Amino acid sequence: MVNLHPDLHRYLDGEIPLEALPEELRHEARRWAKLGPVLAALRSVQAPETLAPRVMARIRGTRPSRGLLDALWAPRPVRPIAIAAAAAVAFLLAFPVARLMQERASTTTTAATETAQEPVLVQFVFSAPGARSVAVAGDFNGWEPDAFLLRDDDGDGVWTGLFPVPRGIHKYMFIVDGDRWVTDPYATAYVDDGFGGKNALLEILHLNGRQS
Amino acid sequence: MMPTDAELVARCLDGDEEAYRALVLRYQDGLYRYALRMVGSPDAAEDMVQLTLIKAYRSLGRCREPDRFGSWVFRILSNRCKDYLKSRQGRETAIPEDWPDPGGDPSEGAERADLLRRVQHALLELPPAQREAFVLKHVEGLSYEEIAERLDVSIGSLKMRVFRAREALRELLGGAW
Repeated sequence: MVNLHPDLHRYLDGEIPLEALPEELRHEARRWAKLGPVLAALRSVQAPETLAPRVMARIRGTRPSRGLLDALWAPRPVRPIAIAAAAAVAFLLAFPVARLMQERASTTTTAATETAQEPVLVQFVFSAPGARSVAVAGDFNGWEPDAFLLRDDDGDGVWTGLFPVPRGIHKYMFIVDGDRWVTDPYATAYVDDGFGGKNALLEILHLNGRQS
Repeated sequence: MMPTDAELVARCLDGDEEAYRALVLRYQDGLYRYALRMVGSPDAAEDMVQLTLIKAYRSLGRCREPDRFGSWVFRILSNRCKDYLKSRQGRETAIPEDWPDPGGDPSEGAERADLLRRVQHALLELPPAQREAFVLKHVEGLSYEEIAERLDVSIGSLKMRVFRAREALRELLGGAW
C-alpha cells in the first residue's frame, strides 16, 4: 500500500503551496497535478437531457406531502396498548432481539426443519414510532431494501417480521422509510459495512451446535 | 435574482410544479455525476437520480431545512446508491462502453483519453466510502465542511477517507501517469 507524505496531503488539500514542499515531494505533487485536467473533465459531465422531463412527467398532477400537516389529517388506527403488551415490548427491546427470537424460533421450528440446510424463521423487531415503513436487509436476502418488510399492525411504533434466514453468520441492517439505513442497536456483534457504518451480525447455529 | 431553494420549495408545496423543475435543473448534473461515479453505470445512475428526485418531491414536506434542499436530496441519493451497491456486493462493476465522454481538447489525444479511462476504472475499485469522499472532494470540488455536512460525518473521518482514497488510487494507477 502506497503511503503519501502528510505534507503532500496538505498540498492536495490546498493548505500549502507547491513551493512549501520539500524538493523530494515536488515530483509527486507534479504527478498529481496531471490529474487536474482529468478530474475537471469528469466534472463537466452533465445529466442526460431526458432526466428532467421524466421526473416532471412522473410528478405531474400530484402534490408533495406537507409532512406533519398531512400526518395530522391522515386517518390512522388508534388502539389502546395494554400495559402487559407494553411491558412485553420493553422486555423484547431490552435484549439482543434477533438472537433471542432466533433461539425461540429454532426451538419451535426444529420439529419441522430436520435438516441443517433448511432456513430458520427469525423474528426481527425494531422500534420506530412514526415510521412509514421498516424493512430488514442483509446478506440473506441480497440486501434488497424492500424484500423483507416488517409490520406495525397496531400502530404502536414497534415493527415486527418473521423471515426465513439460512443457518450461519449473517450481516444485516434495518431500513426506515425506504432510505435510512439503521444499525440494530441491540445486536450482540457488529462489523464495518464499508460505508462508514456498522452491520449487525446474526448467528444461527447449525443443528449440531456448531457455527457455519 | 434567482430564487433560493427555500423559495422554490415553498412554491412547490403550494402546488407550483414548475418550481420543482427549477430545483431539478439546479441539482441534476451534480447528482448524476455523483451517482455515475458511485454505481458505475449511466443507466443505473439516471434511474437512481430520477427515483431520488421523484421521492424527494413526494417527501418535500419533510425537508426540514428547505434552504439546504441540495444537501437533503443528495443524502436521499447517497442512501439509494448504497442500497444498490449493497445489493451488488461481490459482483464486479465494469465500465460500460457508453460512459459519457467528458470531452476536452482533442489535441491532447490518446494519452489523456487513456489516463481518463484508467482513472474511471480506478475510482470504481475504491471502497464505496473512499470513492464517495474522493469524488466529492476532487471531482465536485467541495470543501471538507460541505462534504461533512452532506454525509453527516466528522471532518476527521472524512479526511481519512480522502487520504486513503488518494493512496489507493496512487497504487492502482501506478506508473500510468
